[in-house]
Amino acid sequence: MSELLDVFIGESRENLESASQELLEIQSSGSSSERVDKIFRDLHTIKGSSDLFDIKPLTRLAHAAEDLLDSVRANEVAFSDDIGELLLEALDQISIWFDELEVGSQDLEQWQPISTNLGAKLRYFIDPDASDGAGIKNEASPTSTVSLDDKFLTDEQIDLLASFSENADIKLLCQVEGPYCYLVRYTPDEGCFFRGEDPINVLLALPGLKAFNIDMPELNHDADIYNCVTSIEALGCADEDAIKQHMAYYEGQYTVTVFSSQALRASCVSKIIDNVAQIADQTLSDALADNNLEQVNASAGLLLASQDIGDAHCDDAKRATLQFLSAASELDFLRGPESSSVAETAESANESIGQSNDAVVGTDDTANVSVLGNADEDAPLESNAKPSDISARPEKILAPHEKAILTQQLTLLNSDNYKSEFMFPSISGLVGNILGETFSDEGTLALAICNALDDETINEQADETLKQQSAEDMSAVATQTTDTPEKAGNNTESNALNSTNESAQPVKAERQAVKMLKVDQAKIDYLMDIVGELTVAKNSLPYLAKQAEEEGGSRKLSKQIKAHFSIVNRLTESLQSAVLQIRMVPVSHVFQRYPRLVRDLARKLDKKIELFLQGEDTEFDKNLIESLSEPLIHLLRNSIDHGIESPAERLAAGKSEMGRIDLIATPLDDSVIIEIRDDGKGIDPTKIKLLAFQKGVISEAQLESLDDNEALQLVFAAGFSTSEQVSDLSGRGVGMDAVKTMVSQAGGTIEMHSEVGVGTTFKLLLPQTMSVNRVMMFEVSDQMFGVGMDAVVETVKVPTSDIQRIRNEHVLVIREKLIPLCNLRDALGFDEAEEKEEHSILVVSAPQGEFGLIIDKFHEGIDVIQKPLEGVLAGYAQFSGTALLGDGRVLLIINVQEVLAKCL
Amino acid sequence: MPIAFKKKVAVMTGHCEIEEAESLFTWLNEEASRQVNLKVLTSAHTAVYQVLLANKPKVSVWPESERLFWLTKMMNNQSNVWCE
Repeated sequence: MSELLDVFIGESRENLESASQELLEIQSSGSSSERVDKIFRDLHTIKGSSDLFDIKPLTRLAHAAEDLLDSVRANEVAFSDDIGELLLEALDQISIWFDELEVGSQDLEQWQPISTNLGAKLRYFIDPDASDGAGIKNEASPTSTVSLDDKFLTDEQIDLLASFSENADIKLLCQVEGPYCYLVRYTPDEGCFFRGEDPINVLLALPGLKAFNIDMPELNHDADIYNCVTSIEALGCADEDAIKQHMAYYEGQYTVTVFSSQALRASCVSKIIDNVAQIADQTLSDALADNNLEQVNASAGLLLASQDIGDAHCDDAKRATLQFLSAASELDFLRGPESSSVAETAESANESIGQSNDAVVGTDDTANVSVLGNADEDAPLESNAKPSDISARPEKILAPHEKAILTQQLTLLNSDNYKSEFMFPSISGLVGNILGETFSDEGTLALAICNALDDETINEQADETLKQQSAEDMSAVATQTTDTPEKAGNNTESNALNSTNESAQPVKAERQAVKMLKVDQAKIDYLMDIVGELTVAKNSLPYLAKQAEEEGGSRKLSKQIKAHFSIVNRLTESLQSAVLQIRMVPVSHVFQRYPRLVRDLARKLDKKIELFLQGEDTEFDKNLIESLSEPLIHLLRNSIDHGIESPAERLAAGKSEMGRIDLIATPLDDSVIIEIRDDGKGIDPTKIKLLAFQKGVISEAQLESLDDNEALQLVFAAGFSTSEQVSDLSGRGVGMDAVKTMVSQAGGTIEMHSEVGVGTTFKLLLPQTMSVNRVMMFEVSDQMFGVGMDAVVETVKVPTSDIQRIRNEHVLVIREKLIPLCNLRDALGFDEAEEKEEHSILVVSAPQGEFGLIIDKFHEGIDVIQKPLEGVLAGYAQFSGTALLGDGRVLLIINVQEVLAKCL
Repeated sequence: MPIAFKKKVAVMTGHCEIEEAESLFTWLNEEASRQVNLKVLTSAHTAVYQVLLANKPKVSVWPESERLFWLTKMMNNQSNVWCE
């Protein structure tokens, strides 16, 4: 996995987490604009960065979610629980994809339908009418030349299609399948054969290939046959991802333009109508007018078969049209132009005739080409200037080709073989009005159209007179057409809105800039190791001082070394605590995952549960926190599954319907206590005892003797599960046992209190950090040992006579407290010491109580980095680890519990 | 041998690899009247197609393979080919 992807996933996971947290907040305490904003930003970041990678489905899904949130933000859509659920689902899906990405098992083809499906659901909320896929937008990719327009092809796309072949659009429309079409221009390098590339076969294997064109110059006799001179154009139906995947190895040699099938269809409408008009077949026209699909299919098929198609020039176009109509499965779209704006109609017309008028466009050299910047404006009538014509607003005159189109249209309308009844009345009326009746001369025509366009889409600040004039101009049109100006006006507005939103986003993203420095944990661990080594090295200074004094006989030197030691010691300690601080993260890191978990599980079980978090800012070692996550989930699941009762039971028991789980973290010295409290039904100790007995965990004698508290701790015994019915959440019988193991591995302890009918509390006591331990050194039989300082209660020296014997055990009474003694010489297998008058006793605490360890001599306390026992030593449970001393000796650290178990 | 060069006709068989392109090109250029028999040609490397499309030699038998319909069309001077 690339480093970049790594970073992306890491960051995005955080975004996901915070987004889902906010979503849950919204669900519990209502929607607020700040929260929606925050979720929006999170998703925006994910979407933005995901675009760096080839994971389009993910990007699209994030985009859809972002769009929905944008609408919520703009108050266009009211936030509902359904939206929340769906967004959560989307977040989950993205998270699942991240998992797959992380292990590299992603399958984009599988992602695609999920993404489309979820995306459509999300978009349904934005605009329920756009569920037919018109809302799906494709982002422009680096290699695609034109961005997608939802409804119509852009001029550029039309030109591309036209340059592919005459009537390529209709022909493609005949064969179209799926929501997207593409046009690939693939010009392989000359030397591509030497890289093993085979362009034509690559072309032939393009997904959804419909048509292609191979262009090749003549080859001279002495041409180098191993130079690739082929250039290829291909048309087909497939989405951009499929093409990019297919062409992945030929990056830089091709460009792909993707457009939606709908846009293609919409842009063909006028051409089809035109052609139908020219075919002039009464049956067909009538069928079309009646919207009689079968009849249209049939008559078009018949016409096609009879080949009775007018003049040779339009032959191809007509045939393509007929072919399309004979196979068309719906005709509604042909009626589309009735309700669309003038501009759009003009565009369609432009497209239909533009192809045959390419020459006119190209040769009109008086044209002062100044294309307006808004190429993907809804009405892409780019106005090019012809300054001599209109002095008032020279930059908004009709382009030569547009003029050509309109002139052509006019000629067509006036021509003999044009029969207005073949056209849809509104269109013919509209076009006729604009072109034929209202304007007689070219100049006025151009001006009028410009004005119309100007007021609606281009220049909103135009002065009052011009507005009026254009309004007059438009009046003829307006009387006949429907809501054209308003619609165009709305479009402009929403466009403007969009563009302001777009421009506002980067600013926000910038404000979001990371204040945190993200460092690989391994680096911190390494730093920690070095600090550990430094600590050890530092510890050697006192020895050195001692040596200087004893062997070198220099007290002064010894003193100096000691003075230095104190400085080095101080620095090392602050260094150490600084590094430890880096590793410390607030428990919220782990906690924040739980509200979601609780909510989901509660819903699954039809329970009502609220989770309250406390002390989330308590800090914890990162490693520990990670190891803690799983046991906590387990405990929470237990509380949800077994602890909290169903709402009915709760009401019956006189509790509130809503169950409550508290998750509390409290720092205590160098440890942290984590409590999970529920107000559920509690655990019945007698039941536990009985079950434990049945399962053979305890003997009959124990059944009698165990008190309630001890009985409760039985749930931690291996192979014990109290749930009679195993659910898929918990109760597999390994639960508590596993939790206890994990907790003790992390160096912590766990205990449980429960009261029937009131609730259960689990209490975890965990060390805050596990890297550096303070141990107390002592000597047994001339060897140094260590014991964890937290286990040490006190050190005492007692006369031998004070040690008493009860049965076979040595005991000592300190301050009226009976302390069993354990002779470490015995326990560690050393020879018996000779009789002494006085014994050094190290009093340690163990879960069973306090014990005294008889040792030979006390030494100082020391900070060590404890290393686990490895290899052959790993089997010696009496030792919990080793540490390196300053003078290079190895210190064995005893495991108090194990030693006591052996000794007593 | 995917291409068997006879007196006047080169018979192309199966899949023609890139190596064949050069010999075909030289052979075709030696005499303008030389023809190709594509009957059993199934596919070829781009370089081979390039020779066929650029030289447009006379074809004695057109390919039987449906997959090569486009080659037939293109060698008959159709500029663009629609899959049907």
